[in-house]
Amino acid sequence: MIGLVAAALAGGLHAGIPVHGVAGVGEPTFLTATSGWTASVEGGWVRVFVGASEADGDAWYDRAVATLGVTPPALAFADEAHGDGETLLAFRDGNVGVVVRVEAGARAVAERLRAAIVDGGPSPVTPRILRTAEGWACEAPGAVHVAVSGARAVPFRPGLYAEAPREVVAWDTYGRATVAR
Amino acid sequence: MLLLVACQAGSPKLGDADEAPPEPSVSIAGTAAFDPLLGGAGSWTVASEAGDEVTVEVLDAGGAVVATLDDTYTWEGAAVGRYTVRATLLAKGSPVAEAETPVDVVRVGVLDGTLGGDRIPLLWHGGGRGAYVDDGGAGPTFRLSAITEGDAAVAIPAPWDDLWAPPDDTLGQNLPAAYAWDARPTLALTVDGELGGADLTAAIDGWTLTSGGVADGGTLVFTKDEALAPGPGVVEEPLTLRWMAGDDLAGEQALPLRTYAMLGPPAFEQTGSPYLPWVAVIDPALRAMQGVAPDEAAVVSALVDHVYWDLGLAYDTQWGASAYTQYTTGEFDGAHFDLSGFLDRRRGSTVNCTDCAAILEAFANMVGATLQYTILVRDFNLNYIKAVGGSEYTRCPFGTGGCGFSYHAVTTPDDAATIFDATLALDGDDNPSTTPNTELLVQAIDGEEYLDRLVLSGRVRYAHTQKETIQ
Repeated sequence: MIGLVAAALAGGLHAGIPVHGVAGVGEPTFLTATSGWTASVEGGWVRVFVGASEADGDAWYDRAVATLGVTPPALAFADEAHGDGETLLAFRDGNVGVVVRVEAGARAVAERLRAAIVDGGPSPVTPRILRTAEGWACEAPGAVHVAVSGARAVPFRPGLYAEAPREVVAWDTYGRATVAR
Repeated sequence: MLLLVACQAGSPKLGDADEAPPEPSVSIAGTAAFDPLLGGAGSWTVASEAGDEVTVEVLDAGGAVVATLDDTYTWEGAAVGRYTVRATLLAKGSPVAEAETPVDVVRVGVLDGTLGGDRIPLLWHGGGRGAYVDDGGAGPTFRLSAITEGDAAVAIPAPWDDLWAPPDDTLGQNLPAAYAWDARPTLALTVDGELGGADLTAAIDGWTLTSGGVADGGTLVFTKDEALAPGPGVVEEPLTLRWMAGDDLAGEQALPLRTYAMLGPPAFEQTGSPYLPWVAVIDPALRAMQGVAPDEAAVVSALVDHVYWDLGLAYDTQWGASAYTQYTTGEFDGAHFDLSGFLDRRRGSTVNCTDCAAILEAFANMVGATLQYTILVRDFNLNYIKAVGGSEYTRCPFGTGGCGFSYHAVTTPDDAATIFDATLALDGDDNPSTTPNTELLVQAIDGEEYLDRLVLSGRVRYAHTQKETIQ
């Protein structure tokens, strides 16, 4: 799989940013398919979104900037960026959006994340909702995280549901989300 | 039971009844059954007439004396079985009368218990990362593998204290349960033990035995006599299960139950996991609101206090950035709250209005109070406020260059007619644009008054009123 991954070119459609292994970025928390993932970094946090298209990334980025309590100034970084570069740096590179909110050193974190953007690689696999003898379960080969919502769980049996989940979101290693309903 | 045996008989002569010596007699009455491992003990009263002294002995089924009682006539028991307590009246060292009564030494207890009735499912978020576990609103409350271990009764364990994760195995554990505050729970107890021929009953103060009887393997079902609680809160009043032999106490055991008295079932838009009461949320929240009136305004107001004062939050006075909540569609639609991350404070305690609205909305809906978020749009200057975690009123929470909000998220139960806001305290005096300031938490404030007090200048309206999603 590694052989299929190429260093990213600026802009365009990227595979994403590895959810593990970027220096200084903590364990990811996966949000919704339209929200991306988030993680702690020293003195703050980062939020990352990998859209299926550049337009997706652009919409996410606009929303991320617009929903700050204070409208940040524009910066020269990637395709577009906002912040002071020290405590806040939000940027978009093609379909990938990132917000870095830290006490200090936002630009360094943003540069590490941008440098970690990869292109190519296999497409993410959509999860499946399966009927089993005991109830319902989910299958998501290769996923680093699976989020299930709207299911009635079998008491004290994690991963087993008495009714089919309403939605299953699977996340791959580059932070791309696929959804089964 | 009373057995009276006259060993020395004699007919009094007619006409001299006053002088006739009383006939020697003895009687004994008292405990019919008890469980020594549950604090039970035998206790008898002995009455006698004539004679010199009374001895009381306990005999086993083979007639062997297992205990000779002192003049308190009490016995702490022996192995399970039926015994005979014999009182013997002596005169000049010889028995002149006897009385006997049987007593059962029993071993009794409950092997498991399940709180029933209209239970509300509880969810443990497992420290987040999607590992939700819920009890289905029907799981066992406690389960024991045996009622006796060695020579001691197995106590029902204390309630499970981990608010984040449930036990891997519920055996040997005691889990909390949730109800609406005015529910009348039931408690089903499975009886275990060696009862022999003992005729026991069971009682819990404040509860009525509504079905079942005490028999090995039988099930007792108690129903609470009154509402679970006078309002929302955590109910941990110690219950005592009393095993009775007639009117006598045969033993008692503590029932350490923890129940959450909610305003009602969860009020989220979605149902099912994870839109259930999270133990990690409702336990501290209900403790914080203990004693509050069971109505939505009072409950949400208590939650405003809880979020504003108790959670150690601080407003992001640099950027007003949300650490735990994102709008997923449009500009302010589809708010999605990372509640798991927030409970762990994975990204710190610095938050913004979107976070505070999401926290308040999630907490309220979990305890049964309907709440939505709504957005004040857009770009306006502020009167004096005191942001969460702050100590001073200011019109410029972002410093001299930042005297307004680009937007502001609050919560409402009624399409912005009434506002609750845990992000900030308003200036509650007649002139909110000047000092001095009077602290006014935003607890059921009229929507128009809220705008008047918050907004110094700018055209502001409420928009995007809706419910959030959580994880």
